[in-house]
Amino acid sequence: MRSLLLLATLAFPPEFRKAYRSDLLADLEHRKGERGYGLRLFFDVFLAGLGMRFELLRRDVGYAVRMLIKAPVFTCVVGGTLAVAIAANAVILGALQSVIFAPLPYAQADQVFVSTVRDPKNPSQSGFTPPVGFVDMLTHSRAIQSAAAVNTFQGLHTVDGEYAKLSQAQVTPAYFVTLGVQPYIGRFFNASDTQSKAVISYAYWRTHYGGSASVLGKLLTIDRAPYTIIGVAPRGMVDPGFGVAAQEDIWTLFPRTGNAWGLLVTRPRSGASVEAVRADLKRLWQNAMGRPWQSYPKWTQLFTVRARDAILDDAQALWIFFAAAAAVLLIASANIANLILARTRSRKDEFAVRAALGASVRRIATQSVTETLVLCACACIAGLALAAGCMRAAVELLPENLPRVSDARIDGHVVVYVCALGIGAALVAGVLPALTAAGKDLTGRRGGRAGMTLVALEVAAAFALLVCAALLLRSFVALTSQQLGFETRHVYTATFLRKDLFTPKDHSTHGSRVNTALMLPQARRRIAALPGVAQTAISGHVPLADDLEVMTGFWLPGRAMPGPRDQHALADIGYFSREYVPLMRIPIVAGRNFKNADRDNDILVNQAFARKYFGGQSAVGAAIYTSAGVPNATLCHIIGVIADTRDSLMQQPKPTAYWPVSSSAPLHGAAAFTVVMKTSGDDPHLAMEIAALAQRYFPEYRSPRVTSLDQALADNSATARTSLTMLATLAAIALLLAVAGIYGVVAFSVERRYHEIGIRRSLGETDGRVLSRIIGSSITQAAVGIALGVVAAAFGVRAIEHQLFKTQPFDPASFALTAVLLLVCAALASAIPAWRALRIDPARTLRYD
Amino acid sequence: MERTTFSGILPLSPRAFYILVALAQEDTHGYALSKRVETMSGGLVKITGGTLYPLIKQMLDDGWIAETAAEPGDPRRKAYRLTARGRRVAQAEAARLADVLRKARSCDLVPRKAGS
Repeated sequence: MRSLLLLATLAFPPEFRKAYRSDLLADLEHRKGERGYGLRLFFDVFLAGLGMRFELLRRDVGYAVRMLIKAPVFTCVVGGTLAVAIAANAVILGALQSVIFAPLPYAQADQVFVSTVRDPKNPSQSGFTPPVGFVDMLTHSRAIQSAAAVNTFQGLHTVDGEYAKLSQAQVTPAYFVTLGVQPYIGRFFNASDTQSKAVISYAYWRTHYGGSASVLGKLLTIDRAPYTIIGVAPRGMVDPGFGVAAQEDIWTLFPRTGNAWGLLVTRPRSGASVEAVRADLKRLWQNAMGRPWQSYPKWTQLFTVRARDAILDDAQALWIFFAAAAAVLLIASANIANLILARTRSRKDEFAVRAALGASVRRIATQSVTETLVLCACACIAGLALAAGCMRAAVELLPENLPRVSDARIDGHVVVYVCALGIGAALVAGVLPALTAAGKDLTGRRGGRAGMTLVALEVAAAFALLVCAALLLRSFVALTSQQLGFETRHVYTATFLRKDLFTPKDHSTHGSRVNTALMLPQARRRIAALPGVAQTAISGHVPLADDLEVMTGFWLPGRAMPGPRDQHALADIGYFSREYVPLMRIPIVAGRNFKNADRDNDILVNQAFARKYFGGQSAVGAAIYTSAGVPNATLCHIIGVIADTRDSLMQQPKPTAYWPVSSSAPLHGAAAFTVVMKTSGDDPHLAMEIAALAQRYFPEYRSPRVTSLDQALADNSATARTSLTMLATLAAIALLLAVAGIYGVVAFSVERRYHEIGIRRSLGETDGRVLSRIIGSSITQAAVGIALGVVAAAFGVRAIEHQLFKTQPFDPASFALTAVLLLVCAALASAIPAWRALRIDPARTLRYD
Repeated sequence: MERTTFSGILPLSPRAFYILVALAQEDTHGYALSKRVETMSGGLVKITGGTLYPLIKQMLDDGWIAETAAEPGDPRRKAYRLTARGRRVAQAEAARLADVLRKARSCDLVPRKAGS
């Protein structure tokens, strides 16, 4: 009982405990005969202790609030900086919460797997979607319970007679079952559904049908194909994919016949391990070789990961922003610690009076921490309000391909996290001043050193952030100054896809060939007649879309035939009409461009191709033997070499061979082709005009997708730009805070030394020496901070390394320039207070005593 | 005059009033004080060290009671006495209670002694 009582006395404030503990123990001793007294005593002591503590806290908080109100500038500056830093953290956590932590909205979400086709020799490549026909093979799998395929695409369509941007997904009937999703209303697909059934998203239902239940059974016409709405997907439904935000408006079924490709989604039988799933998929993939729908060579493999991990691929960038925001908060806390420290020192009289009146050192320290806590609590509330207000704008800044990033909001988790941050900031910011306040040394020497240490830490954190931002900037400049090899200004592309693209009957029948011969020139002519269109060409691929086909086998006559997996015999294939090269302003390096009279087996190659396969010799006039481009393996003659062009900013130009579009087979009976056009200016209505034209003259095609190459180029560097913007913003805040920190510390220390400076100057010290002493000491602090910062930057740089393009992670110039920038800022920040000190008449400072 | 001075303090809690009354009788230490309060109230007001000492601390801070020389038998234990201010507080509370009692009597709420 005695030890229990001692434990309960811990609830009392320490002074009280010290004064009355022996009395309490004696009390227990005297009345130990009374039944239940010990227990009653225990509870009484405990409750009374809590009561006393609470009363003290109430008084401390009241006092803190009064003190803060008395110094409004201090409160606003400190609270404001902290609020901004907390808001930045809250926003990033909100995004992380929505992108990474929130589980995918599927039943047992970690039991959903996705697969793509990859070359095992080249695992880093992004992978291709497997043929949909493969899904049927999985019904007999031992490890897989259900499987489905999904293919998502966006485009401009006519929906119920109006042009609209629509995100669409084609799926196999078991798709929603495999994901384990229940419809919000209506039903999902079943095996007997025809292709004319559609499921719409919750958001689409709300915006287009006002959330009315009568939507079921309604007809929705997309590009003049009617669909019956059978169900509404649940709110927040996302489609799995590799790092892509797939929140579709509408889901329809793949056509029953013909070739189609889509991401493979599987759910294992209960108890089946990941390895079993992978092994089974691998085995069945090999069995699938030779099937009519199988378009991949034998050496390809299925790459299978959990749906969650596939989405997280792209979310890594967020962690970097998260660390950067945390660093900013750290700097803000250090700054606040400094300000409070300075204020504590200037309040030494107040503390001395209170100490003389009998307040213990501990009480004064507690009081000081309470003040910081109250301040941080206010900053947390303000920060949360700010974050909630800025969330929309901040989400715009984040990479838009992050899945579910648009769902980011301030939720309970974020609030809890922000509270933890606030307490952390209060501890960081309040403990040091509290120690100084509590210590005997209130005159400042130790406090001054603490302030300098804090400044060095701030400079270190700011340095690390600035170095990362500088590296990203260099990388961005390197990326965007890449030579594409063609002009993008005023160049637009319109991609035509036939509605029956995935039905095989059009593939190689004679009828479609005729169609091709008529269709391509006709489409080109109609578009060329549009106002403002100066030049047009036909292309089999969309420039900058990285969608060139891969030619898997060709060989050079007279050389050994390469093996099926021989990387040396790989090249990309492109198709374009003879107008393409002049339109895109691609230089012809050797030989000539296509002519009207050229045969189907006359080809152009790029410089990379010529270099790789012909070394120093001239490629023009040489021949390659291939089945690509033409129905049977044929000898193709190289008639010209064109300059290298890039299909993506990140990639080096790949060896590519180009066939004239008159080689009709590859264009799949004009099932998919692109009209490239050069306009005389920017025409905002071009897309609409082309859509109208297509609807009028080419009803068998979907509404064409029109993009400008300038836009495609911007999209190409969008992720890099986002990373740069985010990190540069945070680094700029960090720099500002660090400079403010340096200024604060120097200003305060100079103010305290007015007297000393006055004496020195009256003894003949020159203004220059005074200035250089003050500025020099601040530069020394900054230099210490930079030295620490190099270590911190080493970690930061590792984290962003994979985002860097043609930039050394430990780029000496970036490090050196950042260091110089910080030193200059430190010098400037200390120059102002130093200059102010010089303006004061020495006689006045001396009279002060 | 006195009443206005104590207007923020009165009414006292029963425990506080009993402690003041007990100390008015005799200076004493903590344990004996709690015992005496219990006896005085006929066991109605129970007081343990856990509630007693915070009250004593408060009264010491407010100057109602003061520490006095330790008991001869036990030098470690502090004893307490009523100060002049404490006495005035107790008087004010007693007067307040007497007033209440008078009013209660006028409403016939207080049983009269037999024969009176």
